[in-house]
Amino acid sequence: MKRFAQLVWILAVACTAAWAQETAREIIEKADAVRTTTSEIMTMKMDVYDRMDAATPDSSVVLESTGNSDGDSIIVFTYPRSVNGLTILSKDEGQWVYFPSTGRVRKVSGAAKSGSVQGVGGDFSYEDLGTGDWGEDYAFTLVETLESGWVLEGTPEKEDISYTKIRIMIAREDYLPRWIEYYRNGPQPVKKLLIHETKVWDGVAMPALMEMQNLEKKSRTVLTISDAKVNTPVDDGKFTAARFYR
Amino acid sequence: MKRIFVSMFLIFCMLTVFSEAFSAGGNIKGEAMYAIPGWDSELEDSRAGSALQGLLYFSYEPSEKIRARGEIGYSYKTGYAHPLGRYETTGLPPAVDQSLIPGADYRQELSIPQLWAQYAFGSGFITVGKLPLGWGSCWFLNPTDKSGAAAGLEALSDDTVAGVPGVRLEWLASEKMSLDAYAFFSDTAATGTVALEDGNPMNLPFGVKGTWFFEAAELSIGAAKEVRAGDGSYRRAYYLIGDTSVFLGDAVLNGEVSLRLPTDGAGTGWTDSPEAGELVSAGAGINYRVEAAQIDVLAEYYYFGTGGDPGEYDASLILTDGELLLGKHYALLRGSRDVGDSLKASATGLVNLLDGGGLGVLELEWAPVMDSVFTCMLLVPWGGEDSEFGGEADLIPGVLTWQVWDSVLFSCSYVLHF
Repeated sequence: MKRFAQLVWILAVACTAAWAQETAREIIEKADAVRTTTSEIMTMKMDVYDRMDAATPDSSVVLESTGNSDGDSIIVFTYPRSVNGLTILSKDEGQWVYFPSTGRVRKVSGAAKSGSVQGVGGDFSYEDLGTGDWGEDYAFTLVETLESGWVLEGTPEKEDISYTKIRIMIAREDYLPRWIEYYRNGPQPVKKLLIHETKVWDGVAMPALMEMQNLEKKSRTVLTISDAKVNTPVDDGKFTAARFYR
Repeated sequence: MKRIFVSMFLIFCMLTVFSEAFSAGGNIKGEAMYAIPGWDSELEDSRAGSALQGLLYFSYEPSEKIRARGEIGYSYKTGYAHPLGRYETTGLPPAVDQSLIPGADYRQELSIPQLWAQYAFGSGFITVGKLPLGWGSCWFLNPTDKSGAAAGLEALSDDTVAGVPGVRLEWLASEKMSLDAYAFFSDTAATGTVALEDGNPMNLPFGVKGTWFFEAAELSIGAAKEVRAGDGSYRRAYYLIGDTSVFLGDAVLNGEVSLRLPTDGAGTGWTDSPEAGELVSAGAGINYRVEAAQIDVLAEYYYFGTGGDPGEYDASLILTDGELLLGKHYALLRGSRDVGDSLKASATGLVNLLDGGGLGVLELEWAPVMDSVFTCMLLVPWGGEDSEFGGEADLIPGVLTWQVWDSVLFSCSYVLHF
């Protein structure tokens, strides 16, 4: 009887541990799920620091970004004043830019995915801001379980990903990342994204203050989201070249 | 007139303060330029000039259905920077008798480049006012844009363009097709003179085109009427137009063509056996970013059927029609690159392919802080005796010639955006 009780206890402990020990796939799927929205309308400020230790930004950009579930986006710049009203539609095929001063829509060549966003993204590249699922882009393994979350390591599963490896720390409380390290053919990360603050908008928790450190250039870019509307109806017609910018 | 401008300025300042639907801004530009005689120039002296320019704009978007934009421009130009000063060397009598109105200051000018309002209804948009058209897919010159809007090297910077009073109707038939039509209330010569006959519907320019959107391409086909006033008569021309843009990997290919119908100058009857080549104008090009060198490259080719052959250029078209180029075949190549975080260098070459002459433009921009840009520009024309950019062109055939591009120009400017 005593042996039976011991066996039950061991089995119970083992089952509990197995239940508690989520797999890397389950963690990243949950992280992808909390990031998935049908639409996002965000007002954000981007401060670019040319040096890691600089106290004041060397340049700043303020913009409103509207995105849909297909990854299409419309970005309207309000600062700097020289590009106030400049609007960019990004779709799979390319980019369209609306110049308010001339009323003209120009089609521009697609920037490389690893390039800075329209030259104003500082240390953020299109790839870094991408809305794709991590679970689809990378194959993850669990490398460390912490009290506050998990550290996962991912290797790319698609050819058009410029990084050779990423490491993500996912928080247990909200399944949002707290930091991401980006590697490119070397043992040291080339970039590190820090999530300093998260907020809940329309019932959805999202990063509100992010800092991308470019460890090669020794520069950093701080992205502050001041307002957001999530999962609100957005006219998908806005994201077509036929309607942009009218 | 000045009171109107001041009133407009005050109104939109107040509205900007009190309404979130308003946004306003502008820029101030100061420029100094120095022109030295070109290699084959008959000029002996260098000339200098300065220009102060300002632009205030406001935009108003109280709802998704309504949008408006207005711009007030100011310029104060002296010496070589002023057209009246620059054209002194043509040998023509001054275009304006500046002593006619005592106390008038011809150096400064107030203007309203744009003032328009747009209303969205269903899947359509109607825009009324002084509005820019912006037809055509090429970057530098647009043979299919018959609005008469000024083009040129300035077009590459996408600074503001002057609109034309009129009405424009856009209708989105579907996500894959749109219709665009306009009617202007003014001929496209923009002479500024008033005549009762200007109001005759026969003398109003219009255009209509349909645009089809494909996965990685756009194609427009349409027609346009152009009207130019001058010497008490009106020249009317009708065109079939088409333009396209194609995304090809990271590059964008653009092309546009305009075919003038063989009508007489008044546009009321057909002409006999016109030269087919004279009826066509076209442009084609590519813009591409060379990632390895981080250089943005723009290459374009233009053909103007009515252009002159080497040694037979008509320079009067610059003064009467605002034409920038007088020949037939041109190639444009431009490369620009950011150097560090605050410098941008660009080089542009425009070559007349028939006479070998051309223009070279080097620009260096320095933005030490946000919205504050210093620019140095060097413009060098070159070419032989019969060339457009190096020689003389007829102003009055057999009587008067004019070397249009007689100087190497160096300018420095400072722009503050606010």
